[in-house]
Amino acid sequence: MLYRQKQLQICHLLKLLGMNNIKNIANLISLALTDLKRNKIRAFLTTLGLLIGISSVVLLTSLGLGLKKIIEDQFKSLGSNLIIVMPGKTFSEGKYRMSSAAQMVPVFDNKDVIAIKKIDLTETIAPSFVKFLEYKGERDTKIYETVISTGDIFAVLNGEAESGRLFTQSDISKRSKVAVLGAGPAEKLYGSPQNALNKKVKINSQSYKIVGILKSKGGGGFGIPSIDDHVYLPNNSASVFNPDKKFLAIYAKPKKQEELGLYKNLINETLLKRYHQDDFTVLDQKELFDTFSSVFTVVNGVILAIAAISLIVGGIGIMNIMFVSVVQRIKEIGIRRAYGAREKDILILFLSETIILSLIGGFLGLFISYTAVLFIRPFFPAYIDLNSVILALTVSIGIGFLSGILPAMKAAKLTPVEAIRKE
Amino acid sequence: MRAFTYLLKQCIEDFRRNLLRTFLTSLGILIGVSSIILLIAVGLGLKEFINNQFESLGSNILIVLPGSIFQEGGLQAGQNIGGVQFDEEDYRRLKKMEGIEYIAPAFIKTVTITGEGVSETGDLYATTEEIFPMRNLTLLTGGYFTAGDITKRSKKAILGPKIAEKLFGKSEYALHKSVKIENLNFKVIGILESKGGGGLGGPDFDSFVYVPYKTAWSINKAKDFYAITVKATDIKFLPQLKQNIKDVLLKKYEENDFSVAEQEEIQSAVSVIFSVINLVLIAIAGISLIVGGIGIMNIMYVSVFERFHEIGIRRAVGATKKNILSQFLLESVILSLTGGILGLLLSFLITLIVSRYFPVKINIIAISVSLISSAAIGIIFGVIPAKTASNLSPVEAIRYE
Repeated sequence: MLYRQKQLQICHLLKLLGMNNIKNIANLISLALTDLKRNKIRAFLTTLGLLIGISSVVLLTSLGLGLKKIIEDQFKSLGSNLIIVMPGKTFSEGKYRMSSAAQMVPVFDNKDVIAIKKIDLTETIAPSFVKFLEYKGERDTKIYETVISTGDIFAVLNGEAESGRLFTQSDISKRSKVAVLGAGPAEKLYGSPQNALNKKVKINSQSYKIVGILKSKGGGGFGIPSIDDHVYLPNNSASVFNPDKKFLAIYAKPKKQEELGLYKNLINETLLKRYHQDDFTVLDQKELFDTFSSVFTVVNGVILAIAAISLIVGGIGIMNIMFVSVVQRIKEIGIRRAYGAREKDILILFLSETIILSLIGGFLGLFISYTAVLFIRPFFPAYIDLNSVILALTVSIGIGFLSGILPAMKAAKLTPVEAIRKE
Repeated sequence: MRAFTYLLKQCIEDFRRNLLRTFLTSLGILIGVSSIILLIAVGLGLKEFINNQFESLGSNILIVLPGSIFQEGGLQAGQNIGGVQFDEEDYRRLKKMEGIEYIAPAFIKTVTITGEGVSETGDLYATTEEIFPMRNLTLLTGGYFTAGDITKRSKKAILGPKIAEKLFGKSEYALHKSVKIENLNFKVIGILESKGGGGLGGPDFDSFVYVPYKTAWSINKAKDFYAITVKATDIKFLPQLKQNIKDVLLKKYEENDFSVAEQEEIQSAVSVIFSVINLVLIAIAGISLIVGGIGIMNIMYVSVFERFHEIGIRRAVGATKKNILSQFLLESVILSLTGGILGLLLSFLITLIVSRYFPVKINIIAISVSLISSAAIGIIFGVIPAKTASNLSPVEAIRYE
């Protein structure tokens, strides 16, 4: 009984939409396609407009997603439990303070490192001092950002050696002059990472042995050292470059992920014993990423909004051509009406034609952006997600509907007699 | 000439016949052109805003900063880390040099500032009294601190209008009140007039709290400076002064440990970043112009097919192929140019309204870009339909049903 009622309801709904049965829909589609075939150039150009709009929006979205993924991976590769201690109030009220970040001054020293190490929850901790130093290799002389730290810095940043080894506690205690290079500097200075291994490099006229090259990871920035483009030196032998023996940042990880919040508080308390609360900032990886993310979302939104203007222009093009189509088929409309087609049938006839037209544009736009993304992928991790597919198709149906409704209404309002008589 | 006026009349008549079609075709171009002009206007406005801001902060200025801030040509924002910190000795040495009108060292720190129960995050700017004439910072009310206040380590502060307003509701109310920064109580002896801006590469002088640098030593225990700003007595001495400062500092520091930047260099580096972003946005908006052009092409094809008979008759009574071509080409150019001109008018109106809240500016370049690009769109997308029309043989065209 209930089932029958439901069936009736659906039938009623379909009737309301003017679709008495599926055959009718198939009929509509084939009618629309016949008309589109008759005007091939017109159909092609109309779809082309929408195609360009859809593919530019989809492509820009995929590039944005790719960029976001690169940075997200970079953050993730550090582990979600990373805590960064920075000097000054670099972040306040969830905002990144440029004025303060620009003048970061190394304030922390070994006492702070020891104090944080003493917290029971600490798993690894590494201080770092960053400086631009000049490197003289076989191929080139270049300035690189140099991270001066302990052997634990690699554990904290999840850095692995591609070839050779990382520096160890014994390098630090023996004050050995060793350097670990990122893939970028190794390639620039020696032509290839393999070639750089075990060579001597002159750093501001001091000679260091290259003991390891890091595995490439991409990214960097936002307060986190890049694995690829930096050079890492052990802090004892490199203290010539850091005579004050002060650190710019301290990176730490707790033993358990669940204790992150507590650990952060403990670090905060430990540092408050020595410093004023305005002197340092304790951040976790997620806070850093969220700040970046919110800026990125705004920029991406602006770009997409501008690209979407072309969709509006494409929609206007469809509307224009549908008005032409109505005028040209005025006789056909009259004859259809005379044979018993209702206003609604004519409305649906024209509306389905526009929606099909724009949907084809949407599909082709998706297809083209998919092909383009395939070509981009070897160089950049752009990708199209399900959301953009759904959005692209919904938007093209929406544009078809919005731009088709006025011409279709015009067609439907024609009286049969008028329409047939029209010359 | 008469032929041209005749063609023009023909076009207008055709447009009149199809008012809706003409309107919609131009509308596409209008939207494209106005979005491009508006983006150009925002770009120009921002650039002028940045320039004005830098210029209002004094000319012939050199800034000594730690680290090498210009790496491989680009400005490394926020990357001047790990360089040196300058000290009082550096300041004294530079002060003795010739060709300097004003010199102000600065210790800057983001701090919590408390005044009458309200706490705000702001920037402490510990410096000398010379910063005020150098940066053209004028007083809204009160007075400046003096050289004597520095040696006496007086606890006097001058507030930027933004931070004064945040702390006391209205900036004038802050005068003679006291503000607390890290356990030190400063008496507010002056409030500055607003400089506007900030945040776009230039320092935000409106939200600083200025105190004598020696007083701030209880906060700045290392007694160091983040930057030293110098104003040359004349623009002629600027390059020489820059070199001299470098030479003096090189005696103590290594080359990559500090930078001596002209304000102009920083300004142009900031401008370049904005211009690149602006160009990318304009290029993306340009896509809509192409889509509009495709709309024109489409409608011109319709127009050609509808007027087969007319074309045939024209050809039969002596019109050349060239005549037909120019007739249709003129029509499409007029269509898109109308869109362009209307787009220009629309964006002009929008900028008039927006300019009250945001710096926007339309210049002759923006106008010519919009007109040339819309005319070009008309030609590029009109030429193929016009060619189709002109290549019809008269007999075929008349016979066509």
